[in-house]
Amino acid sequence: MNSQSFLNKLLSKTKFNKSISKEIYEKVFEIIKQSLEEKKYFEIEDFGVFKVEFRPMQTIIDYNRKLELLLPPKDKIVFHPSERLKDILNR
Amino acid sequence: MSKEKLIKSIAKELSLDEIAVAEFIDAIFDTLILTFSKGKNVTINEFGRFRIQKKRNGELITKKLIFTPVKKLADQINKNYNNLPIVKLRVVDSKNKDLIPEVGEKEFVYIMEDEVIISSEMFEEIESEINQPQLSNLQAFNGSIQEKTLLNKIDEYSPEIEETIDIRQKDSVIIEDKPLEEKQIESIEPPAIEETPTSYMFNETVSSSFELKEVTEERRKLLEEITELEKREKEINYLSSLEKLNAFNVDNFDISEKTPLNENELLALIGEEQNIFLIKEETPTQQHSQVTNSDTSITISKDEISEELKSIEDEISNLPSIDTNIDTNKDQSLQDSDKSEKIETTPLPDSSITSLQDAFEEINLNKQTEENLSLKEKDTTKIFEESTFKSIDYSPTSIQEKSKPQTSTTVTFDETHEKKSLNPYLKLALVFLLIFLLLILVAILF
Repeated sequence: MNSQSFLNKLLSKTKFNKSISKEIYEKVFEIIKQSLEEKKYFEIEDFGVFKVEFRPMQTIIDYNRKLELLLPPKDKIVFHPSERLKDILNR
Repeated sequence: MSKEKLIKSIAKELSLDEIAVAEFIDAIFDTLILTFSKGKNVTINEFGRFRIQKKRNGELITKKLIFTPVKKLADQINKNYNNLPIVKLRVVDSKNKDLIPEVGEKEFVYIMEDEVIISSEMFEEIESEINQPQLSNLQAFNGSIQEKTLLNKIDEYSPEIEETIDIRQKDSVIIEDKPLEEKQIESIEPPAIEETPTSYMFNETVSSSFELKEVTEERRKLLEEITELEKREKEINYLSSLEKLNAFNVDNFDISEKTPLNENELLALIGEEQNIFLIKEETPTQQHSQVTNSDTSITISKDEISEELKSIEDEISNLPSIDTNIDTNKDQSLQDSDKSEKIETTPLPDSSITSLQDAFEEINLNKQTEENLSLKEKDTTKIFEESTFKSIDYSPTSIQEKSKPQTSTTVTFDETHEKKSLNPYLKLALVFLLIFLLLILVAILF
């Protein structure tokens, strides 16, 4: 599902018109991005937590290319779903 | 940041109702959960993709939600390590999964100096070589002692001991090109053994011990020299600090630089008010007098009075004749001259020179006591000008007459003092009266 179809689904549930709802929708994810950049953490109740985790330098073997590679360290975004969401997914 | 803050910030920015915004945000995440429950993936523009991954553990199938951010967002967050590239380490054999050396690369073993592990067998060999019969008694020799201690330590192997080993010693033990035996001999560096072992041993031990003694003596000498130098430096510093200090400053004038000063210089320094004391010190009669500027009291020793009395006696002896009826004459003269003043006078005893002397003494003492009392109350300088530095004739006829004006001066001083002291009281009374009048006026007005 892409964002357009997702928005159309949302419009049926809200009082706001399309433009305002789209604005709010975009604003929500912008704020999540900002908080991840600044505080490296964002929690949504009953949904999950977005975190920035540090992955240290590590070696991997790429068997397709027959190479051992040294990966540099990295800050990456990780999403940890809530217990409720996990239960809903695995029903 | 939490959901509540998110709602508040959006409501503020877009000027919308918080409840409505909260409902909308709840709706967003509820729809997301619904879509995930249906097993559908969701992609959000400029944010990322939520993907459901299915894993099969035997018969059970578990679903896992994975979020992959957009590259732009990932780069923004990984801004610190974006420049670091992926490094190719080695080609891997897919069948054996072992490391294969590259073409043209020779077999090699990395030997790191800090991580060298020396086996016990190697050290046994080294120890046997060092403890050869020829070198067994050379304990005074530095090289052998170091090697022995090293070996003893390495038997009880631990990483801490390994750190303490010198690099030189390590190099001597671990050899890349040469065999261990050769290197070990190099490290010890024994002289060529051409002579008999006993002679060689004797020479070597003597020389080494002699060298040690020389070194220790030299070190002691050097230490002594250093201590002496340090002491000298301290003394110099102390003297320099003393030079900076001034022994006595009067109006920022360094007397320490120009000692001894002349009397005129001192007078110029101290000022006109204090000149009196200095002049008094010049006179031989007042050598014992102790006059201080800070103290108001003045103490004059009895020697001064005795000297004055002697001078008076001489004058009396030089006189041609002395009437026996001095008392009557004096009483008459007093009655005539000082009736208006009405000041109490001390009656003189009988007309004899010895009794007169006692009387003079008593009078002088009384004078001094009066002076002391007056000086304690008032400034010292003015009294000195008025009382002490007036020329006094000690002739027997005018002794009592001259004692009176001095007393009168003290009386006048007291009167003036009282007048001066009354002024502030009067002023205060006037002020109070004025305030009282003002208050009455204010009361009348209101």
